[in-house]
Amino acid sequence: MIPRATPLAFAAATLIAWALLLGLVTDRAELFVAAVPLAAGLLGVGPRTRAPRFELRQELSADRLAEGDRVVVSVHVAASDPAPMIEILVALPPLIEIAAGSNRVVLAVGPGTEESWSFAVLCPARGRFDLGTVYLRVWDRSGMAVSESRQASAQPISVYPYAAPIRHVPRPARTQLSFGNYVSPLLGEGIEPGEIRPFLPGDRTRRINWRVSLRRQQLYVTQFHEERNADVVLLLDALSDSGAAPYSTLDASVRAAAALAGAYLARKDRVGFVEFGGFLRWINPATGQRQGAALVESLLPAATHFSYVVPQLDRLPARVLPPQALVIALSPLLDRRFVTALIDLAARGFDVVVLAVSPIEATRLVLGGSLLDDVACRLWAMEWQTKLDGLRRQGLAIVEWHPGTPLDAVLAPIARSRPRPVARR
Amino acid sequence: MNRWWPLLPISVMAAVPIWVAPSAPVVALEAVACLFCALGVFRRRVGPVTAGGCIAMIGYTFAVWSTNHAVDVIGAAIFGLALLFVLDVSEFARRFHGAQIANDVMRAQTNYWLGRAALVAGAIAVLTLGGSAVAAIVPGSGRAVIAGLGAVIAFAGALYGGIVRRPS
Repeated sequence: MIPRATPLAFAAATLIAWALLLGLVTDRAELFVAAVPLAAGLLGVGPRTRAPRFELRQELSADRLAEGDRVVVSVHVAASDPAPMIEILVALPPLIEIAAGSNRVVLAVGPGTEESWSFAVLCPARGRFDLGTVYLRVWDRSGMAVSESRQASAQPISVYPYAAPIRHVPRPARTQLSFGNYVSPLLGEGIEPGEIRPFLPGDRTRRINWRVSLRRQQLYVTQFHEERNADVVLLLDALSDSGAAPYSTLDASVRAAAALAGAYLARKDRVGFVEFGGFLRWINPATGQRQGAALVESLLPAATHFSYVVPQLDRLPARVLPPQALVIALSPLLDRRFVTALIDLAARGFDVVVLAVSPIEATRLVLGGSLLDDVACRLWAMEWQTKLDGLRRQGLAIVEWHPGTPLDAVLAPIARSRPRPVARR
Repeated sequence: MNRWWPLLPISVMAAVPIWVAPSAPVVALEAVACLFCALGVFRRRVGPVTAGGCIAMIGYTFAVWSTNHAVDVIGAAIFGLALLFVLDVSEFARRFHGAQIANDVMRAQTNYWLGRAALVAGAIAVLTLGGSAVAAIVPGSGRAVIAGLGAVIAFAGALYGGIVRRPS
């Protein structure tokens, strides 16, 4: 840190020179006297042998939090030399807001002492952020000299998407082999009673239906349906985004994906994830808490990336999109490539449900709210509805979601009954 | 720091020349100087404050030149101190705008400013006494040379101390 003269020093020098010039021209001693305080101010700069040495330490109250949470940043400054005026600015990444206190302070630190201050920041949007960049200015008491430096130590925080609890989710049309919560058409070990048939050698006696057996005077057994789980793949459209973070359609889609992943994992289903954007990212379907954490981690950096390459789902490994999986696509349906991929998936026999995230509200938030904007949004809403109707006619099961409404309420009708879709290319 | 604070030294800076010579040109010049300084304070720019100081000094020069009275050391010292405070306070408010300033920093800074003002007043008194003594000893033609040399040395010293000097 090399001290340098501040604009104040140059201003004082200018005024001294001006006073001396005017004094010489007019031959008046008052102007020389008036220059004395300014010269004294300029000479009042402290010793500039070296900048004071101090150590800066930063602590965060949490490094993993959900959208809308607060984190308290504590900064500790310990000096070995006297530092009469240290200005400290903790750089905040975009989207991080000050909730309480200030991220810029001016402190005085004595030799061998430590000063601390704290402030709270609000994290309204998902993502990975670094709060470790700190800018320091050590001011001379006169204000005529300053030394500046920058300290960067990694202080990462991860802000996870808010996952609203949902009770109603689309029921998968087909089940898998592992134990789960769905009643399978297959008969076997389970608790859901199915057909009744005559007793055969090898049947377990505890399955004998005594009431029917007495009525028919012949042994009958009750068969049970198996409870099985399902494979669910969340297909996130990262080809298009509308609005500004944290209220963009992609943010809403990510929140919905997190909520759906949590709900399906709670039902013991295997949940996978595919980000369909500038490049393909995926997570193989699996179940359990670890998979839940992996899914949320993979949702965190979801963003639109420009690419000339058209992503194709048929290039995915087969285990990423299991043949009998329920595919839930989350998209504002603005990009034709994603719509084509959905129709292809449905035509290949996948059980596809599209959660269409309305882009109108997200866009309206960033517009001025003029009459022209309002008319444009209404026209766009009508056009978007027409597009949805066209896709429904092509055989896609589409759930329309306006991010202001609760996701659970939107999914409830489709969770109760869902027509078997037959897609046409 | 409240941005209204610099208005106090600005008003003192403008009042001294008007008190010396309450003529229309001086009032007009000081009004313009005040406007420039206020613009610099509220727009948080050093340039307009410096320009305002220069204009105020022109007004003060015109005032002392037009009255042609004996040398007013006290008025000049007050004017110079006011100029220094205008620069200091406006710059302090500018550079720490939006920052949270610790109470002990504010207290220490105020003490520093007041202490420096006292020192400057003492220095001016010593210089005045020294000047009177020199005036009694040195003949008339030599006084201008000594005054000029003193001014040049003071300016060079201030420049070296405040701007040019680098860490060893």
